[in-house]
Amino acid sequence: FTRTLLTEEIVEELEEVLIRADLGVETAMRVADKLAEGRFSSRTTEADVRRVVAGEVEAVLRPVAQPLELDLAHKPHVILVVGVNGTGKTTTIGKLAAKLTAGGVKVTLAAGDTFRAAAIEQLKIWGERTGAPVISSRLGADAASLAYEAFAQAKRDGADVLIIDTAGRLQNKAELMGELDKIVRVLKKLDPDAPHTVLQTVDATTGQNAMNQVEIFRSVAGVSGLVMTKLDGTARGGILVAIAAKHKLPVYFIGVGEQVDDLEPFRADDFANAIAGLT
Amino acid sequence: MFETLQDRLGSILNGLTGRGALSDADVTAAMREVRRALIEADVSLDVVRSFVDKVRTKAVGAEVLKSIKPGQMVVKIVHDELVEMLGAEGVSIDLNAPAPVFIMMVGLQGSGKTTTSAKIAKRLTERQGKKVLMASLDTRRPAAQEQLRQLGEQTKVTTLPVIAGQSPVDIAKRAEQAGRLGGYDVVILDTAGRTHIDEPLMVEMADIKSAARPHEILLVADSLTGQDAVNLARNFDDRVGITGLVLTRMDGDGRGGAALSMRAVTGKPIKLIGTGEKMDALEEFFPKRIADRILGM
Ligand SMILES: Nc1nc2c(ncn2[C@@H]2O[C@H](COP(=O)(O)OP(=O)(O)OP(=O)(O)O)[C@@H](O)[C@H]2O)c(=O)[nH]1
Ligand SMILES: Nc1nc2c(ncn2[C@@H]2O[C@H](COP(=O)(O)OP(=O)(O)OP(=O)(O)O)[C@@H](O)[C@H]2O)c(=O)[nH]1
Ligand SMILES: [K+]
Ligand SMILES: [Mg+2]
Ligand SMILES: [Mg+2]
Repeated sequence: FTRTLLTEEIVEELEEVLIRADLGVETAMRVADKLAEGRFSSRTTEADVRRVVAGEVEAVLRPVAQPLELDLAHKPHVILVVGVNGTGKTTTIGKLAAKLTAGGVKVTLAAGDTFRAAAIEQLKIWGERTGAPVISSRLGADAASLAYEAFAQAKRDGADVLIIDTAGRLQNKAELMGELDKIVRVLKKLDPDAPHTVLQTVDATTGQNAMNQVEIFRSVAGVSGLVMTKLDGTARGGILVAIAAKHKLPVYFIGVGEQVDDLEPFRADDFANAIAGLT
Repeated sequence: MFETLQDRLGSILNGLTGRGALSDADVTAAMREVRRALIEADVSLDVVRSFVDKVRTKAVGAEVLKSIKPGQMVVKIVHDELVEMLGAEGVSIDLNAPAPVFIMMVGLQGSGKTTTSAKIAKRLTERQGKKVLMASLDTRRPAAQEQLRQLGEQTKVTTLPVIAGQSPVDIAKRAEQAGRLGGYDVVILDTAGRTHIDEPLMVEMADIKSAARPHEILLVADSLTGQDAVNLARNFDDRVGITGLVLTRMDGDGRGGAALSMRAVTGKPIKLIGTGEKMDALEEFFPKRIADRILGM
C-alpha cells in the first residue's frame, strides 16, 4: 500500500516537473499516465523516474530533430523567416548567415521588416558581422515588393541562399497575416517552389500560446521548420513537445544566446534531459 | 478551443442544485478543474496551488443558492479571487518626486522595453504635458539605440544623443545631467534585454540603478510568457526592486496567466498593458478583464 501511494506521488511529481517545463496539462498528464503503467517497483528511485520521463519525451522529439538541408540547385535557395514579435527572427538570421557563410555558401540577406523602427539597421549590422550583403528598401515600404526585388537581385548576383527577414506579427492579426501570405505569393511568381524553406522562430519563454502560433503561421505561410530561441534562460520550452506531437515539423536549431555563435543543432536527448531535470 | 471552466464545473456540480452546502468531495472535484484551467492559461504552478487553496476555503460549505447553479457559483468565487489577487486598477506611473523623475525599464530580451519606453514617453507628453527625455542604455543589441532614436522622432520625444563606446552606466550619468540641465520632468532609461541568470548583466542592471536612482523601475514582460514568469519576475525584483509591471502583447490571443503569476510573486502592481505595436497601443490595467481572459470568458 505504501509503495502504491509512493508511486502515485511520483507520478504527480512527474506531472508537475513537466508542467513547470511548459508541456501543458494535457501532454503532461498523458506522459505521466503512460509512465504510471506498471513501470515502477519498490526499487524505483526518483532518478529512474526522471530517466523514464526523458526517454518518453525524447521519443516524441527524436523524429523532429533534423538538420536543415538546403537544395542549392535552386539558385538562390530562399529561406523566409517568420514568427511573433521579438521571438528572435533577425538574430537567428544573423547566426544562420554566419554558419552558412563559414561553410562556403554565398548568402544574401533581405530586410523584409519594413515596419519596426531600426529593423533594417539591425539586419545590416548582422550583414556586416557575417559578410553577407543586405538588400533593403526603407521604413514603411511594401514588404512583398522588397522580397520580390531581393529575390531577383540575389538571382542576378548568383547567391546560393537568400534569407528574408519579416516583421514580427501576432498570429491572431488577420491583416498582418494577410501581408505575410502576400510575401509568399509574390515569391512564387519568380519560382513556384519558393520560398524553399520557411523557418519560424518560437521563443522558449512562451507558454501555451506557442501551439497556436505554429498552427496559424504554418497554415498561412507554410512553415517548414522551427527554431526554438532563448533556451539559455530558465525556460525549458516544453510546449515544443506538444507542437512536435501535433505538427511533426522539423526543429533545426536552438538559440542559446545573443552572439553570432549561439545557434546549435537541436538535439532531442539534451532537450528531453533538460525537461526531465536531468543534467 | 478551450472548454470554459463554467462548462466543466457545470457538468461536475450542477446536478447538486438545491442540496444545501457544497461538500468537501464536491469541492475537491471542482478544484481539479480550476487547477487545470489555470495551468492551461499559463498561471505558474506555485501560484496555482496557493490560489486553489484560497478558493477551496471559500467554496467548502458555501450555500448552494436555489437561484444559482453550483458550477456558476464556484466560477464566481474563482473570478472574484482572481480579481483580488490581480490587484487594484488604475495604479499609474508615480511621478511624485523632484524632477527629473527617472523611470527605468528592465526585462528579458524582446519583451517590449524599447517600444514601451516610447509609448510611455508619448503618453506623458501628450496627456500630462510633461517634458520627457529618453535614453537608450542598450549598447549590446544591434541598432537598439537607433531604434529608440527613431521612435523618439516618431513620437516627437527628445532622445539623448548617442555617443559611441559609452558604457550603460556612463550613459545613465549623462542622462541624469542632461535631464537636470535641460529642465526635463521625466527621464526614461531603456535598458538592454537580459536573461535573469546572466550574472554580469544582472550586476550591470543594479549598477545602472545605483547611478540613476530611478523613482520607478518597470519590469516589462510578455503576457504570452509561460511557467517561467515566476522565475523572471522574482529574480528581477530581487536584484533591483521593481516598482511595477507592464505586460505587453495583450493584443495576442494568449490567456495571460503570467499576469497573475508575476503579480503574485512580486506583490507589485500591473501599471500598464501593451496592446499593439503602434505608439498609442498602451492601456490601463483592469483586473476584471484579465480575470475574464484567464478563465476564457
Ligand atoms: N538570450 C537570448 N536572447 C536572444 C536569443 N535570440 C534572440 N535574442 C534576443 O532577443 C531579442 C529579440 O531578437 P530579434 O532577433 O530582434 O527578434 P525578432 O523576432 O526579429 O523581433 P521583431 O523583428 O521585433 O519581431 C534581441 O535582444 C536578441 O538579442 C537567444 O537565443 N537567447
Ligand atoms: N503586438 C505587440 N507587439 C509589441 C508590443 N510591445 C512590443 N511589441 C513588439 O515586440 C517586438 C520587440 O519589442 P522591443 O520594444 O524591441 O523589445 P525590447 O524588450 O526592447 O527588446 P530587446 O531590447 O531586444 O531586449 C517589436 O516587434 C515590437 O514592435 C505589444 O504590446 N503588442
Ligand atoms: K518574448
Ligand atoms: Mg526582427
Ligand atoms: Mg530594446
